[in-house]
Amino acid sequence: MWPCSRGDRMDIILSILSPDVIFPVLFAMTFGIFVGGLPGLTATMAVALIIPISYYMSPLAGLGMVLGVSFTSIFSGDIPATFLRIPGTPASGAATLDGFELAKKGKGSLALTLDLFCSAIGGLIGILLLILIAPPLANFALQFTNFEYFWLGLFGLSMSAVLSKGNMMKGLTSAVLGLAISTIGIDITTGYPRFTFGNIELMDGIGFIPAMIGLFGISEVLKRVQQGAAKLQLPPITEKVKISPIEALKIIWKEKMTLIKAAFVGTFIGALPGAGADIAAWVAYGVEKKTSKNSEDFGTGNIKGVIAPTSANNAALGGTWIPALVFGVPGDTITAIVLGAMLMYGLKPGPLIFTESRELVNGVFGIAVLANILMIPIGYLGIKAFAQVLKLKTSVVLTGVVLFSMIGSYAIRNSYFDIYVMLAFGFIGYIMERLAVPLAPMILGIILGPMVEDNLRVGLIKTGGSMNQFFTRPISLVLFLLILLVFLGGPTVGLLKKAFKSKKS
Amino acid sequence: MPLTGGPEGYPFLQLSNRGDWMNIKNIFFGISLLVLSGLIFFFGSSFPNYVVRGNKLPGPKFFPFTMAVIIIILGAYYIIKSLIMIKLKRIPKDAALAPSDKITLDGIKNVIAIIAGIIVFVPLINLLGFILGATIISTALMIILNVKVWRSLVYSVILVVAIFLIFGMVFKIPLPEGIVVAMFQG
Repeated sequence: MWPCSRGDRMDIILSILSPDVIFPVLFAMTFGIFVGGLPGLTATMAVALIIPISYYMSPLAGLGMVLGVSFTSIFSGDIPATFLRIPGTPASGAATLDGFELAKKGKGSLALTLDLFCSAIGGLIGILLLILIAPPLANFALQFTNFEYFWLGLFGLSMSAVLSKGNMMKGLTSAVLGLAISTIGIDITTGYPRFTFGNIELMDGIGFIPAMIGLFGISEVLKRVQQGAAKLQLPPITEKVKISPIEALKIIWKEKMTLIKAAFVGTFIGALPGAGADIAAWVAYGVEKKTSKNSEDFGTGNIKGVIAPTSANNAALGGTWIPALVFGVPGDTITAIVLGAMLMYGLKPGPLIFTESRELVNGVFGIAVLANILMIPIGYLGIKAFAQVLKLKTSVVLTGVVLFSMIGSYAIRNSYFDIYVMLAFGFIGYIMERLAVPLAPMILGIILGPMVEDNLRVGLIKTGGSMNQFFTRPISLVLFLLILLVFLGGPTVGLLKKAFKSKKS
Repeated sequence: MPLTGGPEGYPFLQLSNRGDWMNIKNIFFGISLLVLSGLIFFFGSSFPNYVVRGNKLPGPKFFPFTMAVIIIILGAYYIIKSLIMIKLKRIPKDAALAPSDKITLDGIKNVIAIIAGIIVFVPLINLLGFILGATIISTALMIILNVKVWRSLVYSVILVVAIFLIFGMVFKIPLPEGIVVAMFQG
């Protein structure tokens, strides 16, 4: 049930169909197809690059653009994954398995048509779950105070540290570094400038958007150009692209349970703070393979192996918005950027947003539904045009990304300093990747830093310096135990397994 | 994936395999973390205490210092663990996750070009104006990345004009006209 009255629904429809909303959203969706589909340019990068433009729109149009670009870029990553076995964006990793095998059999177009419809339907299911779950969860979150928000921020960070690619310690280090970076700027409680070195530009802290563009834009460019010119060119697509929607829809109807199951799994994984579309796709693939009668067919061109990950990664997007909107804790890097954008608009994500900015939230839900419907024609054109897009020289695209990153970083505050912030973070990201340190926890650390620090300090001020309340309040205690579970759960299970194995032997 | 072969591109480091190389990198990471936490302590030591009605409460240095302590522990962990791993000739699990360190001369040139391009971008657009400055940077980067000269120029002009139209005209962001242009305009 849509959580608003019939009159409200008409208002939502009128506001999202107004030209100053729908055209930017369409532009962003087309941009998403392009960026997500080009290997080396990720969905996160697409969102980071669209933010400087969306910043100049109304909050509804701006957030709509972010939604539109994330949906299409996650889908279009499947195009090179299917045709070339190169994921266009990390969330398309699982599509390189059965999708590519189908392409080898000359059925690449069918796999992509399935990808398109399943992405749209999976995305819709994710959004519907968001609409159903978020408002009641927000009511529950109204009970939260500083103590709970402190643990919630830490919970988001721990999940991200544990779930991100790499080992847990490296994820944790990345998150702690993000928290340390978040302390740059004026201390909110006392007004004292920290680590600003007399620089006025640093008083407001490190610009989140330039840092984001650096970490996910420039570091990626550096990684790509480092391989030398020979590695920059992509192979052409040899298959003639022929799209047959009727055949795809018939298959989807037959495999509807696979789609629905994957969409639910995807939304759930997405809703875990720190886990995004890429993990959702792999988990859904794994679940489908485990529960399938012919699991040995997976990886050889099984239709279910195409449907499950592609439905899950788009459904995950809806899921990631749940903790972001309700608690202000991002579900993944994309929603981390969304939170940064919301703060720029002067919106405070958290349970109160559902009452204070009700119209906006409903509008965002409406755009999310519309974007998934619009994805079908836009994605259709994207698949058709893709062979042409791949002909673009990668060097030209990468230079474009550099130019756009520079001007985008500058445009947010009209600050040249932010261009250098972007460069610094680009370089840091580049080095971190070489050291196998994941980037996502750092971004979450930067965005969650103020939440963790302020709530910890305000909590301590309230209690006169005692940590007792952080552990004795029921919800606080549960959150604390969850964090313990996150860190100790995996290793404990591993130890138990070992112990049992040695007993048996 | 077998982790054999030395760290390509670094023949001067005679290491037995890529695992050793990852251990060396982890030691470097650990040392960097120790330096970073040292810097946090050094620059944060002057932060004032926060005393309310005689009660000493967590002030501006509380959180950064807590982070610095955790960073020291993490730094020491990487150094000690890697030294033990080297001694035991073990390969760290994340060795397979790090991208290959194979860097060609061409690659180094490209990385330096991109960084240098970003560094000179601001002074150049301030001197020559956004359109001319950005076109020069863009063309130069494309040529370095092996795009033909005339193509680089055409693509760059299209790119820069598109960015100028979006940001300069539609969003009305102040883009520099350049000192040279201003001089000519008197």
